[in-house]
Amino acid sequence: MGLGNYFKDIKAGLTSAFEGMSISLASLFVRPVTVQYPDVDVKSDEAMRENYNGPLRGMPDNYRGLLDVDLEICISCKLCEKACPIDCILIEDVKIDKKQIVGRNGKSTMKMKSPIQFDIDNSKCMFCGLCVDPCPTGAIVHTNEFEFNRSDRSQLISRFVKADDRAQLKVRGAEIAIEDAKAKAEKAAKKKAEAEAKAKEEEEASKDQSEAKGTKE
Amino acid sequence: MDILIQTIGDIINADLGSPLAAFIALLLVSLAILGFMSLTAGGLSFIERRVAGRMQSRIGPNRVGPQGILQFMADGLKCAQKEDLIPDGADRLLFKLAPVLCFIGVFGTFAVLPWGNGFFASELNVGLLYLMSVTSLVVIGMLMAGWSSNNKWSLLGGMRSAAQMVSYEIPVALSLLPVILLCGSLSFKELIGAQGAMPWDWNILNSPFTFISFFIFFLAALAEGNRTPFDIPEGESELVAGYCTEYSGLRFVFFFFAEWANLYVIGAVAAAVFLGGGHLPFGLESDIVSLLVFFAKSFFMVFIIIWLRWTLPRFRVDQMMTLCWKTLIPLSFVMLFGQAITLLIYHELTFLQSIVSLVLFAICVLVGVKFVSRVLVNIKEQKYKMMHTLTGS
Amino acid sequence: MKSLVNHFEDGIILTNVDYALGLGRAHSLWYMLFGLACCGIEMMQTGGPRTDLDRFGAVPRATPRQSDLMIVAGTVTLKMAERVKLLYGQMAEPRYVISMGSCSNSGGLFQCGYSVLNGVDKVIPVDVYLPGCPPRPEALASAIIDVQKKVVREPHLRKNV
Ligand code: SF4
Ligand code: SF4
Repeated sequence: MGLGNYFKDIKAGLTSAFEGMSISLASLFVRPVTVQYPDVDVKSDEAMRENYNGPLRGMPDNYRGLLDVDLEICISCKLCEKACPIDCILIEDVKIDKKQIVGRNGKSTMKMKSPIQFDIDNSKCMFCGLCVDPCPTGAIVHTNEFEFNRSDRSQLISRFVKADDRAQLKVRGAEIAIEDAKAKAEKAAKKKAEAEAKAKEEEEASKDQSEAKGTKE
Repeated sequence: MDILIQTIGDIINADLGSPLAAFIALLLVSLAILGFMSLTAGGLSFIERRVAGRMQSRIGPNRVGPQGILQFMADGLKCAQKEDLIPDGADRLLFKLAPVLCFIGVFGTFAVLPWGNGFFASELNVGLLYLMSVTSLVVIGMLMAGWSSNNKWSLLGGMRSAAQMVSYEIPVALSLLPVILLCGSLSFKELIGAQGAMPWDWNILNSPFTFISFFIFFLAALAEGNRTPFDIPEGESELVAGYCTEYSGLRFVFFFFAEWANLYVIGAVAAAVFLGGGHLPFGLESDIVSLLVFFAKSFFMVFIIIWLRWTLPRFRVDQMMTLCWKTLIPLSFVMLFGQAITLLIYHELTFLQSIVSLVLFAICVLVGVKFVSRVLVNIKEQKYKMMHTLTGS
Repeated sequence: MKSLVNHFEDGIILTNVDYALGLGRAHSLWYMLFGLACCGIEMMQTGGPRTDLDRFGAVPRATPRQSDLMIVAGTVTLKMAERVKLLYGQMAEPRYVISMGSCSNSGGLFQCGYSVLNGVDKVIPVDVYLPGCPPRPEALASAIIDVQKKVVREPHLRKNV
């Protein structure tokens, strides 16, 4: 029993070492699977096909990388801001001249507001995609970008609205606000006038009635 | 006298009788050996990383210099710039002494190592004995490092390595005895001289007992050099980095050097004692060629050590001690007695020796062929897997 | 060396020597085997065959004394923050830190948790922030390349103490 096991162990050790050594030697003659990252574009299928003749392919379409926002079609509905579980989206908006836009999904919508600040804090974001789903126009999407190293944490925030645009939008927004206010005031004045006129009419009507009553009597 | 010293003495055209000239010559020799040792250690670290990479289907360092060959220079430069930390509460003297002792333990062996058939830095008639005793310094160095670091992991690592190396020195010495019995000498020159050029004239194929002794020697030397599968003194999962946990910068480089240079020492001893030194058949032998052949053999052994490291998992402490005391030591005693009896038999029946050697050689060739066929099958399998089961993203 | 520091003008020789030293440091960034959460898994993956950090000369070391680069990979809890600080203190100069993933950048998803540190930069200085949750292995490789660029530029002989 004891001695039999002893030799069995030795045999098992020798044969398994033999097999293991043959496997590791074999791998010296097989091409390594390493993708030489900075030299090879890991995003594209073509580059991978060119450099590796195996089934290695580039990154998939549904890869959730850094977020990108198309401000042209963002209607500033703030649904994404509400959907984000960790509040890493910050949106401020102003009114703009109304225009018709066509979203990524093909539906056309009226755009009435535009963000003057659209910040996504990449230092918090967990790339979950919850903000992408509710967007009515498909303005916010994941790209397959993943290199966003910064040496300062505050630079990790991606600010989508440029400073010039913001200034312009702000100015135009203020004008629109004034116009709106004017229009509102006019409307209100009109309404008031109308209301007054109505009231007058009614008064007169009631006067007439009372007069008529009086004459009846 | 020492051939190398004499040649250098000739070059500088000095009379070796004067003590100053002799001192300078000796200094030059040791500097040359130091240079060789550093280059070997650095180069081996690079080679190991590349080989390890390929065995794990990676590439390994390939950005510094052509194909990354200057990687060890970068590592050396980096380590030289690192802060030299001595932990609070450490025994400062021992802490500083330990790496040097380790280094000396390995560097000392280069004094008697053969370089081909004719070259020796110094030809000692007890070369093998000297080599085994001087490597014991490494144990002291490691124990010292572990003790002086004032760190429990270091201490445990140091204790483990001391236990391991002291135990494994016995099978190393015992497994060399059959060969010493065979050649009747402890000097490397005579050990090499007693062997022939063809494989069946090598000591390893002299009898089944020397054959097994070779494997015992190889395993035990691996364990003595703290190489995987016997590298528990520095097992990362249990003891942060073993005895050198607290060492940084250049002091760590000393340990590092000792480890890699030790690889070469194992390879060179195996090549000189068992694998026929630098002999070449068909009258091709000359001093330079023997040097190359000897290097080729030693580096082949080094390659096998590296290859083993990246194939086999690590032993447990008790398994390792069991292997040493219950398997290797009794086995090597059997080999010693077996070899002694074989020598008697060979003495009576001289023709038997060549028959045994040829049979052993045939067995080796058969195993080799089987091995190559397995490797070919595995290559095919791995290529198939590469092409068909790897997903793109 | 300490006495020499700050005694030199920026000369061409010194700059070149510094550059060479920097190259040495940059291409031998041994990182510490130190993963805190899921990013740690991705870090192991980066050392693995597909993205192979060893190509850049970066190998894992188990002990802080011998490592140059700390990759804070994962959620830094308040309890762990002490250890992170201790480990950073045990590393020998020059040392660099990559904050990997949103959790160590800012607390990320768990930033409102009672036990989570909001950003590892509150306890140790960070050289490169790497966003992602977790970042893919190539992203970590790109962060290491960024650290290398930084290291090469950094003066060693002419540093201000
Ligand atoms: S991906 Fe998730 S965490 Fe990032 S902004 Fe969108 S909802 Fe917020
Ligand atoms: S959900 Fe879409 S349209 Fe609405 S604010 Fe966000 S990005 Fe703009």
